[in-house]
Amino acid sequence: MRRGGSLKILKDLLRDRKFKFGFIVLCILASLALLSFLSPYDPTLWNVAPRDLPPSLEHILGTNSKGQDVFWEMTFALRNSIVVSMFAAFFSRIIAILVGLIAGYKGGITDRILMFISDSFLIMPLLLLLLLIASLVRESLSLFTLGLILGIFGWAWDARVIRSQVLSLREREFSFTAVLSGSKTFSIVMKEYLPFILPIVFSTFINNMSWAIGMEITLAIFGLSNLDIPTLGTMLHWAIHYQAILLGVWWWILTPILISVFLFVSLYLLSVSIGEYLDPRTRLQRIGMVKK
Amino acid sequence: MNFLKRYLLPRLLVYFLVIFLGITLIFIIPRLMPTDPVQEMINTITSQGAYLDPEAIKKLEDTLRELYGLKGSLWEQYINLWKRLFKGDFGPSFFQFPTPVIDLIKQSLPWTLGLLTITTITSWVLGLILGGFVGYFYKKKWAKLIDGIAMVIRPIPYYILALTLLILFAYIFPIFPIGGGASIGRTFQFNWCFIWSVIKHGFLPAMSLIIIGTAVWLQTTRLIVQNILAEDFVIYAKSAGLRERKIALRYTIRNAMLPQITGLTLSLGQIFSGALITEVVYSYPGLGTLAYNAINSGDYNLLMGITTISIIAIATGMLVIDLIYPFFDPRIRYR
Amino acid sequence: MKKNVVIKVEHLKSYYILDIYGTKKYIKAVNDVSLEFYENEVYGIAGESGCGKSTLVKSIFGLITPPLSLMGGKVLYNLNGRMTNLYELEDKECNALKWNFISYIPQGSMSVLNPVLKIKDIFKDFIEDHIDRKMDKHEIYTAIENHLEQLGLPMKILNAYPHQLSGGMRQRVTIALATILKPKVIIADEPTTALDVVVQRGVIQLLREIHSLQKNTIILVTHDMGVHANIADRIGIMYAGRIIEEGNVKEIFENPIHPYTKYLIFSLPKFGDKTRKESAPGNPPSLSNLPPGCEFHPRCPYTLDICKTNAPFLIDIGNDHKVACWLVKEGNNAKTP
Repeated sequence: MRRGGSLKILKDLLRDRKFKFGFIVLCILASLALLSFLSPYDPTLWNVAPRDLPPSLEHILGTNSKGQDVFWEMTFALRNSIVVSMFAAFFSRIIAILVGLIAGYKGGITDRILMFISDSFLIMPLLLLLLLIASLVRESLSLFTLGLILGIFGWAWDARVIRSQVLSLREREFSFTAVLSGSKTFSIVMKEYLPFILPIVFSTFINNMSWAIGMEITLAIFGLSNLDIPTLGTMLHWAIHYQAILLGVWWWILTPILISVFLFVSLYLLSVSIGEYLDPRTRLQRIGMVKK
Repeated sequence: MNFLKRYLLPRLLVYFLVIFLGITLIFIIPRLMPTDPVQEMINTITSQGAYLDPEAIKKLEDTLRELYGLKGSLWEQYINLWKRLFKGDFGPSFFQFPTPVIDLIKQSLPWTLGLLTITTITSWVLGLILGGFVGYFYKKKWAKLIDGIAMVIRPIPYYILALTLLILFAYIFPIFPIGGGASIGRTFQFNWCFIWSVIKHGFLPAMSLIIIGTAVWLQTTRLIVQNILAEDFVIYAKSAGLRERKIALRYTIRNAMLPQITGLTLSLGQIFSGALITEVVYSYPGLGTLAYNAINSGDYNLLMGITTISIIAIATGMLVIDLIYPFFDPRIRYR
Repeated sequence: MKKNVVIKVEHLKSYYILDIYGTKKYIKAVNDVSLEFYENEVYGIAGESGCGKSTLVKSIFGLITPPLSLMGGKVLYNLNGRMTNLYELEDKECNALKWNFISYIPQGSMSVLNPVLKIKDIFKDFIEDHIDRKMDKHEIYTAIENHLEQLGLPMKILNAYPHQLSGGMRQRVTIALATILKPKVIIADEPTTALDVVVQRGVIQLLREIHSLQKNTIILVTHDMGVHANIADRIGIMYAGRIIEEGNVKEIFENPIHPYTKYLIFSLPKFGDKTRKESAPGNPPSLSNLPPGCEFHPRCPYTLDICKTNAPFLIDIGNDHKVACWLVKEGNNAKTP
């Protein structure tokens, strides 16, 4: 029944134009990223092809000033950016779920303290803190560590969302039954609430991926990530560094810009449509509304 | 007086707490990192070939430690940090030795604040009104069109739009200058020439912030308006046959303003970060470019100073907005 | 004494149409209703929750929004002597009628006031949009003050915000708001629900006051039979989307004919009466799945064969008393077992 259920949900979601568009674009981008495994070039090597060639049959998107094929660089960049953001979103989900569940369920002082910490994270210019950190660990920044650091900073907003969901669940009947039947707090929380929270977590996961990619690109432009690993951000950084615009190597800078825009827009459309799908009020709208 | 106590004091308390927490974080984080900035500095110097006898290196280390605020035990360092903060002393910059960090910040801060306030207020107001009308007349074609455009613009990060605008309007169609705050060499004067120069240079950065900002506020306002439309008083006004424009403005947007003011406080941090990176793209002489240079030259003090000032600026901005809120919500003004 | 008809409803049908994953569901809230409302009377519409009363008056007022749909029938307003079908008018004309000819006090009146506006500004909004000439601000405020004074409401509420007033006061403000332009017809939908008894009395007094001052028609919807007894001149009993009995208040209370009305009246406690009270057995039918024939027949103890197949229509049994029941033959003073 589960499997049939998720397929049905997918079909339902695909009815929404926004979701269709985002989904298709994302699939295209994902397949581009997977293409990277077939790349004839090693992305970390420079000067494997003549520099600054405009797009041609041999190099579909031309080459850059470092002597690399832009198309294959892009596939790697896409893959790495997506991977980093998935790490970051995954870590921050864990923290967000833990904080949200505990704050929502325990309430009282624990709730206040946790929310205060969460709000402070929201308020602070995370960019600056990230810059501070990144400038200190510049060299040893692998994709994994970058993901980890981004994850540690990206949980604040969603913790609140999860907490409000937990708060509304707490008042419902099955909570009282569970408490009265004597199950321990942790098992109540995990078994009963998790299924309700997962849909929201999924939607915020996508949002967080978007945010993480944005942060990664920002850090890279500042020159703070490991510039040998190709990501969308490092591509942009090198293009700016080598004055691509000024020198007329427009394909080098346009590629990461366009790919990023498509990536962000598709992720956003997906998260908005999933959010709408889950919102009980818009659900009702989809049910009602037959005009004369 | 009662109102003051109930509304104002808790917020002041949070204000100071947040600043306190922020500065403590700034203190802790670098000290948790595996790298030692002083050692890095010394390595850089000695790797450049100059020979320094151990005595000199020791003296250098001491001085550096003092300048970095790393002398003494952790607790002593912490107290020192606060002492110096109250004096407004962030130490000297390394990137522009020996100019004190605070002076550099004083030069850049007005540019950032100016850009920020203008763009934030403009995009908030535009987004609120547009979003309100789009949300109210949601069935009309023009509303759907505007909403669709906003939906595509909103997820684009600030720097990407900034880059695109830069390419389009400074290179391909060279209407606007490529970067900077005002034409090089001009000093701060109150004459038209200078002001025009500032406007020309600030136009593109402001545009990229305003375009995306408006799209964001438009979308969020639309969502809020959707909820407000289901409220009893709106349904009643409609059923009573009040003019649509009046309902849209006085009943819907006027009520949507309230949560959006709160939303503004919460997004200040993000907006600030967006402004910083936009500045970098345009080499706009604000805190963003300053931070960029600080990072590139390893100017640790400068970076700390910028971060501290930023946290204080954002927290203050939030406090100001919080203080303005009661003027718009009569439910808070009168108990 | 023939009174003037101010609103006439002819075979009105309003259904809620729901489309759940492909299948259409029709909720027959107003299922062929015909009524006449006269000048200078208070007409009560009574019935259980969910029988369609609110939908009926909304349809009379013209508040048809999806998923509610007008499926048939007419609502005729008496405009300057001519009976005009509300649903054939342009939007602008409809809006002009509101508040001038007819106004509506909705259920849950307490939250219909805009929380960010002062009471006097809310009044100003409603007035401005319904009068043709431009009025000066002071003129408007004076008119509002006079109106409130007439109704016995305190002046100081004008400068207050809605949240500063109590629920009962807000209800009275809403009533004042609906009557500021002295409309010919006022529809009040459950004006006393969710209020405590003392405030209820205040509200009813206010409605009485308005009725005697402005001599208009009040259509009062409530399930509370006590309120009807207090203020109504005529009552219409509604069941499952139809009017099943109608008549003068006294007549209905003393001589209910329809079995459902009997249950309704006899279930009301009276002073000194210690007999057991009975209410109609079973539950009211689902409006999307109505039984065939007479909608009440599954619960009626006197069902005839014809009740199961044909729905009865309103028959005049004299004394301005109409009933829709197969047990009754046309003529005077018929009675049912």
